[in-house]
Amino acid sequence: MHALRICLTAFILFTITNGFSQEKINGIVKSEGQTVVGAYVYWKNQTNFSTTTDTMGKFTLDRHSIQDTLVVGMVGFENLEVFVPKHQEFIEITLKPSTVLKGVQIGESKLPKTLDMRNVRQVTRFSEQEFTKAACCNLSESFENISSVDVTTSDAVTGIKQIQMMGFSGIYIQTQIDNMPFSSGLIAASGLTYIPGVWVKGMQLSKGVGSVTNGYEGMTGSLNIELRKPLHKERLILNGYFNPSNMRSEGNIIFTHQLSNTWATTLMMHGSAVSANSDINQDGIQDFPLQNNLQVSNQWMFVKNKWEGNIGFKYFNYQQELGTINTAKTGGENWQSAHNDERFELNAMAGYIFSKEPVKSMGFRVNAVNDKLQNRFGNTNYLGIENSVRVNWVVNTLFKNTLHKITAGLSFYGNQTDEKFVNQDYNLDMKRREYVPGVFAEWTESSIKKLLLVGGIRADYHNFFGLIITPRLHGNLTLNKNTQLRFGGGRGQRTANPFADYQGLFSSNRRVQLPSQINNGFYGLQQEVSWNTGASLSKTFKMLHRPATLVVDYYYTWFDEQLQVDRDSKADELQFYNLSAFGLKSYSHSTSVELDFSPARRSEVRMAYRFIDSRSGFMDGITRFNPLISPHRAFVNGSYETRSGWSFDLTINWQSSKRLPQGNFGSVELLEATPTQSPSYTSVMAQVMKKFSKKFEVYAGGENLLNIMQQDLIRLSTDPSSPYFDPTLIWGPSLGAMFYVGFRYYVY
Amino acid sequence: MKNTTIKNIVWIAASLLFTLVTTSSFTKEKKPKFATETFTVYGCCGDCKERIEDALDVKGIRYASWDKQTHVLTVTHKLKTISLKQIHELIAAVGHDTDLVKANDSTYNNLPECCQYRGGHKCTH
Repeated sequence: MHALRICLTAFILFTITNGFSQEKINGIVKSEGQTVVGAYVYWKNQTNFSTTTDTMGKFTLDRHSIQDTLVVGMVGFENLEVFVPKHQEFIEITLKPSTVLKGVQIGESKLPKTLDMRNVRQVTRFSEQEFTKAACCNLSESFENISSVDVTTSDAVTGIKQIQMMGFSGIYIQTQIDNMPFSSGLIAASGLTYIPGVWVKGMQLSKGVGSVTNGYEGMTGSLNIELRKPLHKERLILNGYFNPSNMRSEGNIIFTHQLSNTWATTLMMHGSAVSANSDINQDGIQDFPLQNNLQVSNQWMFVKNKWEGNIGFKYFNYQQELGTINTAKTGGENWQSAHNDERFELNAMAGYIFSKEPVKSMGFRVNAVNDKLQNRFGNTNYLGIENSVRVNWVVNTLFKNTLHKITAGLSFYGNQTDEKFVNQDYNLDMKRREYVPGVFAEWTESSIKKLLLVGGIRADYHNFFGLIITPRLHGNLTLNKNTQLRFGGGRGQRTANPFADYQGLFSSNRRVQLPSQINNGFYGLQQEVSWNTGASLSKTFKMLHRPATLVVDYYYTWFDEQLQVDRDSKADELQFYNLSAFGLKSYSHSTSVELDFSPARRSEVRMAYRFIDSRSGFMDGITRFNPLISPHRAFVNGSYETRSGWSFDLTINWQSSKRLPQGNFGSVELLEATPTQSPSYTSVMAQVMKKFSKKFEVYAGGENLLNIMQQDLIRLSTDPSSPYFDPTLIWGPSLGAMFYVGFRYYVY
Repeated sequence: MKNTTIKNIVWIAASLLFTLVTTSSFTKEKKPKFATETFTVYGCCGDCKERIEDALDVKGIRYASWDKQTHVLTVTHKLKTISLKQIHELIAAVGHDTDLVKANDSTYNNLPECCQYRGGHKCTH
């Protein structure tokens, strides 16, 4: 009896263990002939069935009852999915190292927006689909459907739209094109105006401080724009756009050619113009500037063995004018303004992948800029000439094994800017010289289960401001297979350049006050220093049996030092000063909730709400809400495509009331006539597109369909020589409802 | 201002709750009306993905996604409206083989050259 029991137990045990051994998959993960330690391996969408490779690169994993696709990945390598047939017990998997230069690749996803779940930062990717929703014209006009970015118009004269994140100006966002710094120097505030929407293949938007490998800027967020490249399949793209209301037209030609297995090139050309006067509010001054804009970009890509790289140039010439068209309304005065920007940029980069050495890859990039910016506002003249260069050299290497990765490098930034500013009080001739060598290192730690940590530090030496130390830390904690918690924070710094960063504000007749006129180009201003910290929770789930995502986040940003741009203390002064000069504070709390789902096939719904509480101290001792920022904003975007190629897109965007700069007036009547808050308003835009084939599509749409307009675009437009004349108090659209038509033609 | 912050928190909490309720109500269905299946569909490139998914853009199929790398199709269908067998047939009808239904040769031969996946051809993109 006893023996029988033992026999039985042994039999049961045997069958159990035998059963298990049949339901296991063994394997080894290699790359470039070497085993990969610490790579994660799991059944697709089943992260409960997961493991990591051991010190020999081997792994064992229980079979999943349904799923037969393994996902294998590792920081520094491209993710791989492999199908494992039922009977197979052993598998050898080869990972490809990811290269330095590629950055985040846009897949062939048809979705306009996807959340980057693996990234340590809160990154949202937008595909070109997103940019076709906004039919016009440049990138600064494509953010209606993006909750984390607000778009504002700086003034009624230049018409330049600026982006904001976390309740602070876009100058604190690091904008890159193909992982190369773009918006800085003279175009720090206006850069996105110079990127035609049709040129863009994709964009990654990251909230919070960026990576130290990109520099000490990127204080509230970063934006990387991917332009069209030879590796995309379109060979030729023709696009045309026309808006009859102000005769705004645009044309784009994009041409790609593969010359050999090694070389390929993309040539992009853009021309746009606004050629009709508009004065809907009938103040005698045009509502929107006349424009002429030409842009060219030519990039050459090469791939050979373990080398890859890119060399090319960008050029633009942007000219616009705005002024009085009816002197009877402006007290007989003819007030005129002009804004010209001409920029030439050379860029080159090269990357190399090592096969055996502990150093895995290295990359080198350089870009050089020549920019000439001219502004004339009435009797105020500004000329800025920038010559700048950025050099970056980076290596990716492993420490002991693939669980610990280091990215390190050296950088150099040189900027020579000459500025001339002439108005009633000033005749400045400034030369600013900045030379900033830097060294940086970033550590990626993935040995802790379910937690990815990236810590970075950089040290830069600025010829004028001295040593700059920038620490940053980011983490991504996987709570369960569908839920990620990200957190992070760090320091950021930048040089303030009042004349370029706030160029539109000089269109008013306010008296400009600077701390100092010492001829070093820094105007007695300190560098701006910010800290940003935050967390986000993202969850993917099924809703109506279709994929959906929910993201909730919170960020806190504060400045140790900031350039205060004060239009509040006095209504006829534009004062620039350091916060520290008066012991003032500046901070923002921002939070958002965003839900994306797809109620049916070929349809998408995006709903978002964001809240910003951003305030700063002024020299009169009062802490105010930052001007012209809506504390609350919410939008709904819906799109639907029929099987026959019609698509419909509708966005309803609501913004709460914004605080308007006030200030002490000399006259009581003026004070009473000036509102302290803007009205809240809703803007609606809609578009219909018809795809006749994969090659040809036509679209028509309308913006600002509720015809919301700010009537008083210019304060005291009746008297352009008054000290209170001010076109910079813009809270809403300057043009009413607008309709447009356009087409796109592709050759593959 | 405190007031709006509180309002705000309430708003977020409410929307979170709403999502939790809606998601859980969908997972707690007693008699499943829908089923999600995964199986291999032979093909190779991005054009194949489009072709396969477009073929499954019919009544009764709520979700269809084909993975270019793994060749695995994930499909959610309404059991009353369309059967798994019919799904296999829809795919074969546009020239893509499954383990259950093979596409007929003339349909297959009409596929563009880049999509000729049979016989170990390398796809171009």
